[in-house]
Amino acid sequence: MREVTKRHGDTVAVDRLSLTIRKGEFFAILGPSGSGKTTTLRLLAGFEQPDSGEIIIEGQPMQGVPPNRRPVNLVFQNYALFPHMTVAQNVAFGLEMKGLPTPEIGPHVAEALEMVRLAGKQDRLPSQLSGGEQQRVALARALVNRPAVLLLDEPLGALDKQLRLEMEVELKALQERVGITFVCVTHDQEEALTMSDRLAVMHHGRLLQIGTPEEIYTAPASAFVASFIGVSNSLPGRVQAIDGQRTTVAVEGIGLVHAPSCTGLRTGAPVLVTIRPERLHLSRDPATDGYQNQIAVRVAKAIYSGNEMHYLVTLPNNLTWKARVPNADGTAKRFHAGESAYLKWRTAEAVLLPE
Amino acid sequence: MKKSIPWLIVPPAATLILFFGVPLALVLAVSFATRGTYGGIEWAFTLGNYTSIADPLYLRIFWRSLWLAVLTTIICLVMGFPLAYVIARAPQRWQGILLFLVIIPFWTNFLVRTYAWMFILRSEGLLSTVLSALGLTHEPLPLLFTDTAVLIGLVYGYLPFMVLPLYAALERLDPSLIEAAWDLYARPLQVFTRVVLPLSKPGVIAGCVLVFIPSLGAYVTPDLLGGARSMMIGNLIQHQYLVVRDWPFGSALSFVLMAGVLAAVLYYLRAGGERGLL
Repeated sequence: MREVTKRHGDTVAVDRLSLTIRKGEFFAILGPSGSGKTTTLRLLAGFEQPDSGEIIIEGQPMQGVPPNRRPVNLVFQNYALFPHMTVAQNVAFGLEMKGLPTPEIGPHVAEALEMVRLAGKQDRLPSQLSGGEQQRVALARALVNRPAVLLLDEPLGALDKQLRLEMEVELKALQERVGITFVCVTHDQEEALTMSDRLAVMHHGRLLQIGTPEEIYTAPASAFVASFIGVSNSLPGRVQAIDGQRTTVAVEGIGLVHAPSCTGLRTGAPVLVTIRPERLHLSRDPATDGYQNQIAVRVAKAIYSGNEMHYLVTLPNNLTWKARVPNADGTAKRFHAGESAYLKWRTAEAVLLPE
Repeated sequence: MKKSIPWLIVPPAATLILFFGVPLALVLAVSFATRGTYGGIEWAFTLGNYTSIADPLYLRIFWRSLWLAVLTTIICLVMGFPLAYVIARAPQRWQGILLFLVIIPFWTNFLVRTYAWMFILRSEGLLSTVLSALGLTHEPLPLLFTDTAVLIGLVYGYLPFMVLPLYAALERLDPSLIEAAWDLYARPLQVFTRVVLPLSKPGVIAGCVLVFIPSLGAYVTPDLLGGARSMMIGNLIQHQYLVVRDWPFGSALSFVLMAGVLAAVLYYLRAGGERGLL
């Protein structure tokens, strides 16, 4: 996609988006609702035409090419299975429309149903299947055509949590097995991180960052990406000193904290120091023991969550942070609401973002 | 144990039995009676009223009625489908207005609207004048008092009965199904025949039944627009009752019409495979 823009009335749904998706990768487009991710998918499918810019699929410009002549297939969010056709008829539809001779369609359909583990259900109607099964029919209906690109619109959004976790793994395995390029739109960061080889984060129609899940998770390029990919704590301040790899930041009401340097910052620039809840350490002991940063806090809330304790702590400047501490150590070390504690972290665990 | 009676259905049931069932039974009884010398009814049992319908003169009227009703239904379906589709796919706030426009003709008396059509279809009428002004015809069009005039009137009168059920069916149709078919390589015509049409079948059946039945028994339209040359069964029955004063024969005609409608609709529903309606 090159410089693609699409307007809906007065609002710009997709704003000068340039994106290269590699052949055979599992690519996720992540963003909150209204970020333009679904419009991007519909532009790729051909249901909408860009106002400017161009879309090229496998070297072919897609300008003016209707959906029925594009080498892409879409798995709809609500599956959009044809209710008056059986599972087998649904899966056969695309091959039939392509004009494949009838005797050849049968084996392809059987193979596709086998692939999504639905063999034996070919004569059911979609209404007789569970949500998970309907989802797999939708997958088979698209994959049977061997498209150059498979588009998935919030593929797991309608499933319950348990099934969603299973399907994340299954989808990824399926993609690796068939080797088709998957482009998956989702608002669920966990889903995007688990399944994708690379992902793009979109907001207000713009591309904010593109990279592998690890790159995006550990080195978010902006405060929005940091907060959208997992809960993040942040501290606004000004650059006090830059010392090679380490930048010292002055935070009003707290003092000095340290973070790894980032490019393009000068002394005095406004910045955000961000750190993930699971990287924080909570202790009753004021000794620094290897942590370069320490703030005295008050525990506002302690929530038991199985393997972890979730704490809400109040900082001296009245900001509330979240901390997640493993429960392995038994009950003795737990904190209770109202207690004073020391919040500690290593400088390398923080991420510095320009504000 | 006392079986509970749904008391609420008693008034409508009683009304139907009293004002629909009883008269119908009377008509059935009269259809087997004999016409009196001066037009009254003599209770002498005969099947003669039914056998005399086989007269080619009457059969021709039956045949014309059936033909006109079928044609009306087909034209309404072909014209009503795109209209209903556009309304169903229009933005929500437009749908109400467009449906309202479809229903507006009902605000005026049907008779008055049919008189308006007489004015339009007359040899020196609006349509003829406009067509010759455009140079499309060179002499006055003798449209009024023809089968074509009756057909125009019937289509005009019953089109809304086709559009409304079709709209109801199409409005329920999930637009993503259309996109899914399109995405799966179906051309626009295939999207229509493979997805839109099968899924709107209940609306098509309801619309066709709602147009076919009143068209077959139409009376006002053929009376005013068809005149004596383009009679339909409705006019024949009226003629027997009020002009010839042969009530028994008129009753027999009514029953044959009713049986015909019932047979046609049953056959249609069977063929359409719509068991849910039976």
